[in-house]
Amino acid sequence: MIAFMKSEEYVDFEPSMARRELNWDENTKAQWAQIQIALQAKRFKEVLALTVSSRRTELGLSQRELADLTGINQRDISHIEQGKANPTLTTQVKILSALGLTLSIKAK
Amino acid sequence: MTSGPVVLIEVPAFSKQLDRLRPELQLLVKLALTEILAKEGLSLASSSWLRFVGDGVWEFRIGRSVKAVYSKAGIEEYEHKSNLKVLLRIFCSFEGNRILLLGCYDKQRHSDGKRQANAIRSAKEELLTLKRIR
Repeated sequence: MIAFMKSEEYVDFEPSMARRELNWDENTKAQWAQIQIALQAKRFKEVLALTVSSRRTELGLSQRELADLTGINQRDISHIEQGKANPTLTTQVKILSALGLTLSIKAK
Repeated sequence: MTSGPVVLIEVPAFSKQLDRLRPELQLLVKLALTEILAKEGLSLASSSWLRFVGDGVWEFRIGRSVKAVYSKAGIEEYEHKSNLKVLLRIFCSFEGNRILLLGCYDKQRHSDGKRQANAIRSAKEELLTLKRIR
């Protein structure tokens, strides 16, 4: 392992990048804002996938049984658990409700 | 990679080289480093994204189209109008949860083999310098 010097020359990428972003043109800033939204959506899908999969397993339900409980196609449930789907809000609520969970929103 | 959050660290040469890239390329570097390299680490070595160039240095290859970068970052649904082709090279080293960023350049602007060889040599020197100050 390399012992990193406590030198100011070696800097964390994140704050250093934040400094660069201040000099970006408006188009690039707007593009990055859109990308951040897409990344948030991606992370939400990852959280939803993990939540549905782990809670279903915890309750001892198969995907088929969850499909029967919710009226949602088993293949769609599989896609949601893989983070590959864009389920509607209604679909999310149906699945989470069947798993004894609720969807909530909180401020950043 | 070991468990825990990955920290990306810049050496001065990398900082200067990244500062010289156009903002739209800096944006792609940020996206690729934080969403691809930091997330997937050495497992990228089985793909065209990461190549070992010797002496502890790896070449992270941000290539092809912007769309390919977005897709690899998991935001393929992000609607973008850019048809930009990119060919960026980032040289790095893996140390536990740290990824040391040693150098970068725009291979599209500097496509000659000499530039590539110089960039690799400089990255290796940066890593050697760091090891000497242990």
